[in-house]
Amino acid sequence: MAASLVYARLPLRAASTSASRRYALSARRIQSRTLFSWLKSNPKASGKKEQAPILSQDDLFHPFSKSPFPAVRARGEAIQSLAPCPVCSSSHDHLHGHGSQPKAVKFECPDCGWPTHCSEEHWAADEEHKKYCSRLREVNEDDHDLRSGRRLREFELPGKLDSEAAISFANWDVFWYTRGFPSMDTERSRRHASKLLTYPLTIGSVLHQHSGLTLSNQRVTPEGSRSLAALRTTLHVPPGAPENEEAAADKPQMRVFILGARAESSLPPHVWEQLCMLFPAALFHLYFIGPQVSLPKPPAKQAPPPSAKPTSPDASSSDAAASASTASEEPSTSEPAVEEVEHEEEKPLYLPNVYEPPTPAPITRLKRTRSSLEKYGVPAYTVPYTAQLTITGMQANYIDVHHNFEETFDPYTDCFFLFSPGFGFPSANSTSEVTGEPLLGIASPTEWGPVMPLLLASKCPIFVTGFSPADVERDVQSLSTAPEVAGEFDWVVTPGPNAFGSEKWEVADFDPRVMVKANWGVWGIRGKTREVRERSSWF
Amino acid sequence: MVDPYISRKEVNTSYRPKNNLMSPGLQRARLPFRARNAITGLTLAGFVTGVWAYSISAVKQDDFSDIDEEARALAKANSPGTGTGAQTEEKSS
Repeated sequence: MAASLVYARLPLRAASTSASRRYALSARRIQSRTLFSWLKSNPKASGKKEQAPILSQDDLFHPFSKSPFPAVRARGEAIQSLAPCPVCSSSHDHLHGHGSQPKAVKFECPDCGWPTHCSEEHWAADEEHKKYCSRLREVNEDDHDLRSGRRLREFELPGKLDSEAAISFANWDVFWYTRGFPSMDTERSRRHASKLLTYPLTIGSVLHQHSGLTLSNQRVTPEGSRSLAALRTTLHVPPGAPENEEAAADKPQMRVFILGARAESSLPPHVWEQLCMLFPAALFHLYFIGPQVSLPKPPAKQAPPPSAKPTSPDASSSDAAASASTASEEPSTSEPAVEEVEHEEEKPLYLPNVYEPPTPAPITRLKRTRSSLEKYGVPAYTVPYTAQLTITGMQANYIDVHHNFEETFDPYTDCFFLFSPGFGFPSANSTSEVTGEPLLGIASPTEWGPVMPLLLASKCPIFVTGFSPADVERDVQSLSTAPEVAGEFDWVVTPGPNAFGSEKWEVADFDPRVMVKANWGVWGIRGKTREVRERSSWF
Repeated sequence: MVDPYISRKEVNTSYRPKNNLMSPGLQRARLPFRARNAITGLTLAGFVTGVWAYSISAVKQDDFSDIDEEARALAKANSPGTGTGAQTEEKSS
């Protein structure tokens, strides 16, 4: 008995020592456990050292000029050069013929840390400021929290779910729970995570079969349910079939065209991969088309350190700026687009949100990124990120590349997403000959005017988001006035709030009173189907 | 190669920091269902209580206090007239 035990022990020990040798070779830190060492306490494998955060969680509020981060200080300076003092401008309205401009903001409100007024007297005199002061303070603390150096669990994204998992798209919290994200314990975590994920999740929540937009809550029209059902035959499997990668073998590739893409084209691909993981049985090709799409750095430039590498969650958070075309409450200034640039030695610390940023910042070049200039005729790249996801970016107006796709549009596989296109916003550079007023974006020949009839002719659903209730309202009203769009579309998704909009307020640099939430609302249209009916009687 | 995704175990422990407690994220995820679950729970509990109460009341002992008077009256009526006759009748049957 004892002898057999001894013999039994020997091969075990041999196995364990060889195993331990293997472990020692591969990871010296992890010690092996032999069969008889379970009484000893498990030596902790020393993981990567967690660096102490620069700012602790109760030290997040800093006025912009006193912030420990240069990017935040640069933003404060940008605001001071751009924003007018609200008290000066409102008092000037009462005076006539003054000739002097409202003074630029210089005084930083001690409660929220933003430069909001020109002087302390005007700050004290302003009644309106306290209405949004707490919101500004929140944004201030969020900015510092992102850079505080703590471990950002909100940006640790989960992998694939098993094929039986049911994801719910009712709201963010239920989605995060059913999808397997870590618990978002604080409102701040929710804001960070929602801002990162709003673009892929807006697309996913509209297209998924468990979407919160249904016929019964009247967000989807009967015509819309036909369009969505067509798309879902490509995205999902017949009921009862297992939803896994094997089911993708006989399916065509789903194409999502994101037109007018700005910051979403620079969102790191691993965040777009989350969209693909919602549909385990589908293959995706995302097209980012727009004049402000970010192209990857050219391959020759190896020398400068790739500080834009999206390896750390910090980089991805600063990359993932919401592109909100904010509108000023007073119809004075032009429409800006938000782009936040990371700290690089050649670039400025902070680019303020202006309508036309000089050139979009380049994104990281991945291993398989290739140029698609020859294929599409415009500066473009393609990166096959995973087996399920291919991303193409084209830095051009859509009308320049439409000829590549016009014969192959299929309402079963293609759809269009336009994030905050500004249909109803007066165009900055085209005016109507008839009335002399600026044309709306949807009618303007330089913006969406020629594009919308082409999209409607393809009969593929077009989903549009807006950054505020007023913006959605404006865009929807503009549809009824646009020349070739007015009677030519069917509603797919009626206008309303988007459950997967960003929870974070984006503050405009030209006026801290202007705040928007990216992708607040969503709606969808499709080119009108005119059914052919047989004449069945004489009358 | 470091796993780019977060592990399921870490996710599950983040929702249940201690065994009985729920993280704020989990509580928020349950919010849309609280009212419906409460009503369903009360309905079920009410049904169970109803069945139990009925069963208890169905098997409790019968209360004959209302016919006790009658029985005594009948016994009195029988016993003075045919007291001995009744006994002989019983013995033969």
